[in-house]
Amino acid sequence: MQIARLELRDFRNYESLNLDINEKTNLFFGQNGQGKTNLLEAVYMCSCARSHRTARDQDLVRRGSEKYYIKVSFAEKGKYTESVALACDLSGRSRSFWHDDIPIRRSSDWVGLFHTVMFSPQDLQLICGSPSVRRRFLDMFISQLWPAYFRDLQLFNRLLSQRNSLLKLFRDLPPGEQRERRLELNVWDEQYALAAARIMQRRQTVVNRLSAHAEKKHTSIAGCDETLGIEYRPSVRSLITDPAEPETEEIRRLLLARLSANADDDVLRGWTGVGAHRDDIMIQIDGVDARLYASQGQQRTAVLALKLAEIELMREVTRSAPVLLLDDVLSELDSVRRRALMDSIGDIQVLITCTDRDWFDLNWASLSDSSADIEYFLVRDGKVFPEGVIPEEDEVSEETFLE
Amino acid sequence: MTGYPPPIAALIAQLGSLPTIGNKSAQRLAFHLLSIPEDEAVAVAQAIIDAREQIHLCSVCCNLTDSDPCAICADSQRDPHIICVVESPIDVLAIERTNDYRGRYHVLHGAISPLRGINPDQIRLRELFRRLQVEVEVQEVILANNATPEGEATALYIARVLSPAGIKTTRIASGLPVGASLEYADETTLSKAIEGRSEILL
Repeated sequence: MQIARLELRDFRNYESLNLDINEKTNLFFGQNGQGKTNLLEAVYMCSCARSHRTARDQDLVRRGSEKYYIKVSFAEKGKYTESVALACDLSGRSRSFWHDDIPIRRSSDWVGLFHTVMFSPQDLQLICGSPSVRRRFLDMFISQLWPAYFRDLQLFNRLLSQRNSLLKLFRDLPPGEQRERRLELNVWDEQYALAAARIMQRRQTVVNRLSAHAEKKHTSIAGCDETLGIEYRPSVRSLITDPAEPETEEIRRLLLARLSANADDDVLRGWTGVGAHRDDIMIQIDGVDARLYASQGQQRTAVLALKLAEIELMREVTRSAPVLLLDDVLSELDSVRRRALMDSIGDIQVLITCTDRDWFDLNWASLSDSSADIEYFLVRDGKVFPEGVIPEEDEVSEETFLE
Repeated sequence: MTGYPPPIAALIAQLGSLPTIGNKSAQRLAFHLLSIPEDEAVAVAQAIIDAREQIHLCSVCCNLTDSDPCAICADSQRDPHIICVVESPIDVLAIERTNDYRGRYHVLHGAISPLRGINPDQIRLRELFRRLQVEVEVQEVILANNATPEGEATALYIARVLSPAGIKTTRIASGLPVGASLEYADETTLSKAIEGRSEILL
C-alpha cells in the first residue's frame, strides 16, 4: 500500500499540514528538532494507534492546544483510495477513530487497516533492552495483522489487573480469611487462562514464521556463516509442548493448572507470576545470547534482519507491502547493510528522515538505479516544503541584518 | 467558575455531576429549568424527592420498588422455581419487555471488580444466597450477568457457591445479535457463537 496524503492538526510541532506524498521514496531532511520524526510517528500511529516513542497523549498534542488529529489517505496499487484517521481530545480524555471518514467505535476495529514497519535507532533496544521491548515489538506487529490479537491483549490486560488487584488485597489479609476467600481469586482464572493461551499461541506461530524469514535475511546481510536464531520464550516454557504446532486449548489447560498450583506464591508476591505479560523472545547468534555477547555490528545486523523479516511476513500475510518508515537509521548502517536494505525494499513506499541531504544522495540515492522516484522535502519548524517551493533563508538574513 | 450567581453555579455543578451530562449540557439544562414556569421546575425537583423517598430495594429481589415486596415478587402468577440474576434494574426491564420470561429476578447492583474495590460483599450476593436458603422451591438460577470480564467472573462465582447446594445454574448464551450479519461480528463473539452452536432439529 502507498500513502497518497498525510494531514495533521495540532500534532507535535505541526499546527496544520496537508502533504501529498510520492508513491516511491520520500526524503524528509532538515536540522534536528524541526519535526522530521514527528511525521513518521504520525504515520505509524495510523497503523498501531500507539506512538513508538511515548504512551502519553499529552506529549503528542501541540503546545497550547487540547486535541490533535491525524489522517492518512492510502491506496493499494490500482485500487480505490482509503483513509484512516485518529484524533485525541485531552479535555475529554477520549480518542476517536475513522475509516473512510466513518467513525469507528472501538480501536480494535481500526488497528490493522493500514500497515507500516518502523525502523528507528531505538530498535537496537530489541536486542539489548528488557523483555518488555521485545513483547511490545511483537504485540504491535501482530496487532496490525490479526485484529483479534489486539482484542485479546486488551482483554488479557484487564483480567491481569483485576487478578493482581485481588492478589495485592489478599497479600495483606490474615491467612485464614485469605483462604476463605480463595474462590474470589479462582473465578478470574478461567478467563485469564483462555485470553493468555490465545495470545501465547499466536505469539508462538508468528515468531516461528518471523524467525524463518529473519534467518534467511541475516545470512544474506552478514555474508558469512553466522546464524541468527529467534525463539519465543513463554513465561513457563513447559506450557507449550509443541512449539511447531502450538494448540490454544492445550496451553489453556496447562496454564489453568499452573495458576492453581502457583496461587499461594501469587498471593505472597501480590501479583500473577505466569502469563503473557512475562514472555520474551530469545535472540541468538551462533547459539549464544545476542543480548550479552553480540558486538555492536552484530546487533545492528540482527535488528535489520528482524525488520526485513517483518516486511516479508507482512507481505506474505496481507499480500501487499507495508509502508516502510526509516527514522534516521541509514547513517547507522554501513554500506553492506544499506545495500541489503535497499535490495529488500524493492517497490515498497519508503518515508526516510535524514539530517544531511548530500549524505543521503551520496550514500542511498546513488544505490538505486531509479533516483527519479525520490521526492525531497525540507522540514523546518513544523512546516514541510516540497522541493521547488523551498523558501529562501529569509529568517537567517533578517537576523544578520538586525545585528 | 464563570461568574454565575452562586445558585446558578450550584445548579450547573449538580446537574454536571450526573452521568453522561457534560458541562455544556449542564448549563443548557440549568438555563432551561430557569426559563420554564416555576411550578414546572418545582415539579422536577419534587419528582426527585418523591422517587428518593418512596423507592427502596425490594426485600426479596433487591430490585427498585415502591412497595414491598415488589410487584414482580408479589405476583403469584410468577414461576417460583426460576430466578434470573441480573446486574441492574434496567436489565429487569429489558427482560420483562420480552414478555416470555415468567420467573422471578434478583438484582445484584453491580459486578465483582477488585480493580474498583468491589468484592462480593459490596453487591447483593449475600441477599441472593440467603434468599435461596429460604426459597427451597427454586430449581434453577439463570445467570444473566453482562458479558464483560467482571460479569463473567461474577456469574462463575455464583455458580461455584451454589453448586454444592445442588441448585442448577445456567448462563445465558452469548453470540450473534439477531438480524446482524456475520461479517461485522468480532472474532471473540464469533468463536463464542460457534462454541454455543445448536443442532437444527428436523
